Amino acid sequence: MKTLRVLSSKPLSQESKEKIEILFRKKVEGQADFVYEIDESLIGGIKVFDGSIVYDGTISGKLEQIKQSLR
Amino acid sequence: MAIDIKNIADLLKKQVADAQLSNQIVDVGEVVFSGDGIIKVKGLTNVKYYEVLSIQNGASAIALNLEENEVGAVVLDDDGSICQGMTVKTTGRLMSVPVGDALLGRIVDPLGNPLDGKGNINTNKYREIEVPSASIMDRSPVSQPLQTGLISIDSMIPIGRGQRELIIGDRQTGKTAIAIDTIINQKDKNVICVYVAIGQKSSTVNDVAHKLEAYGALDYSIIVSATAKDSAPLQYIAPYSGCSMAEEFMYNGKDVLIVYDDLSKHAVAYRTLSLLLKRPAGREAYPGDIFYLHSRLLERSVKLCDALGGGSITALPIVETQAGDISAYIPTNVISITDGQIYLETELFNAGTRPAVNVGLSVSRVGGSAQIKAMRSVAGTLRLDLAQYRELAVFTQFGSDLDNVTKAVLTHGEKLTELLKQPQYRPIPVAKQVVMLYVISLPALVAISKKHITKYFEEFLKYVEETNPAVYADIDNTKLLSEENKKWLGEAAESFTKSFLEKI
Repeated sequence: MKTLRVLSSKPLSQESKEKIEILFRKKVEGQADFVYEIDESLIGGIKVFDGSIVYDGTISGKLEQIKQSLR
Repeated sequence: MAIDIKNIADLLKKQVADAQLSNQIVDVGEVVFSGDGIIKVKGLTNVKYYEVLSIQNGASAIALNLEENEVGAVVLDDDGSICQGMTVKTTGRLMSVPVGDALLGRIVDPLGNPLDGKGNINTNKYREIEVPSASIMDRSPVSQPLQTGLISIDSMIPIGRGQRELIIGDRQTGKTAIAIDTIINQKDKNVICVYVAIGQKSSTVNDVAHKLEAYGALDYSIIVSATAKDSAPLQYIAPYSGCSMAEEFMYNGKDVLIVYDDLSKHAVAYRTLSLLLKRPAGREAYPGDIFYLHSRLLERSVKLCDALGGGSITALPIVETQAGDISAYIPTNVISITDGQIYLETELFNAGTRPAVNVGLSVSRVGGSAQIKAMRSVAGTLRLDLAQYRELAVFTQFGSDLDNVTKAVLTHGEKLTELLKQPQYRPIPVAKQVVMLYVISLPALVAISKKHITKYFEEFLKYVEETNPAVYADIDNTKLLSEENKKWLGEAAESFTKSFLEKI
C-alpha cells in the first residue's frame, strides 16, 4: 500500500485532486494513498513523491533548470 | 559599457526564452555517509550502475555500489562541503565527456574542463566514457605502420595502426620518452594523438606539454590530465575519457594514437576506490576486477573495417615495474592483454644504450605486416645479428685471441648497437631508417669503427639528401628499396667511406 505525497503552492481543488489521483494510480500499479501538503516556495505547479522518485512539475523546478543551463 | 550590458541582458533573455523546459522525473536520495570522496546514499531506488548523480552542493558523483538499502557513489569534484542529509538526484545519464575538434591542442581534465587557461571548450558533441568496443566483424587486420621514428623500434618491434603495444620498464628508463617521440613523429602523418596522464606529477605533465608545443606536436594532440593531486575517481576515469575522445575521431575515419601514462597508477587509483567502497580485496589488495579494468580499456583500441571508415586507435599503455619484475600482478595482466611489449632495462639505459630497449625480451605480435616492404627486407636479419652478438659479447671482456668469424660478428654487433642509439626528440623518418639499415651491412662499412658510426651516418644521410634525394622519395612513394637505388647506395657508400676515412 503506497503513500504518495503531493506538494502544491496553494490548496488544490477537488477536481484537480481527482485528476492527479487517477493519473498516479495508473503509474503506481496497486493501491495508493495520497497525502496533500502546501509549500509556497514551489511558486506554482505540483511535485509528487513516490518513494524515492520525484515527479517535478513546479515552476521553482523550471527556474532551477534555467539556472543550470545558464552556468 | 552600456552597450555591453544591454548585449548581455539580451543574450540572457534569449537563452531563457530558448531553454527547453520540461517536467522532470528524478530519483532522489539522501546522503547518509560522506568521507574520503565516497558517499553512501539512502533512497535512489531506480538508479542505474554508472549513472551520474547530482549532489545538492553542485558536485557530481558516479553510482558504483548498488546495494539493497543504499547506494555507494564516488564523488568527482569533492570540495569537502558534502554533509549528511544533503539531497542527491539522478540525472538519467551515464558519465560522458565533451569530444570533437575543439579539444585539439588543449589540456583538459577527465571531465573535459580546460586546464590550460585558453578559454572554454566549445563543442556540442558528447560521448559516454564507458562504451563497448567494436564487435568482431567491425574490425579489420592491422596492416598500416605507425612509425615511431625510433629506429630500434620501427625495425625490430614494429607497431601497426590499431595495435596495442605495451611500454614496460622500471622508473627513469625512458618509457614516456618513447611515447613523446612517437607523438612528435606523427606530424604531417594524419594521426591525432591523445596523451593521458594518470597520477603523474603536475610538473611532469607541464614538461610534456611544453615539449609537444616546442616540437609543433600540440596542434594535433589532446592532453588529458589527472595528476597526483586529483581525486582517485578522476584518475580512474581519465583513460576512459581519453579513449572516448579518441573514438570520436576513429569513428570518423581518422587514425588516432593514444598513450596511457601510466596504467600502474591507474590500477592504484581503482584499488583506492574499491577499498573505500568496501569491495573485497584480492591479490596485493587489488579488487577482483582489476584485469577487466584494463582489458575493457585496451579492447577499445581497434582497427576498423572499411565499411565503418577504416579509422583506428593505436594504444601505447605504459606500465612501471619494480626492480625489473615483469611477473608481478599488474604487469602480467597488461602483457597478456596487449599485442606485444617494448621492454626497457635500467642496465642498458645506464650503459648508454638509449632507447634502452631489450630486443630479446621485446616483441610485437603484429610484426612484419606493420612494416613497409623496404623496411622488412633490410631489417630481416637485424634481430638475429644482435642475438648472435649478445651471445658472443661476453668474450670481448677476456681480451683473448678470437677467430675472424667471431671477431666479425662482434664488430658488426657493436656497430649495430651504436646505430640503434638515438637522442631524444630526434625521430628519424622511415626512408632514412631504411637507408641506414641497408648501408650498415655493406662490405664498405667494415672499415668504419664503432666510435665513428654515429658521425658517419649523420654526414652520409645529409650527403644522400644533397646528391640524390630521389632515393628517399622513392622509398616513401613506392614503399620499396629498388635495385637501382640499392646499387646507387652501394657505390655512394664506397666513395663516401673513402673520403670519410681521409678526414678523420
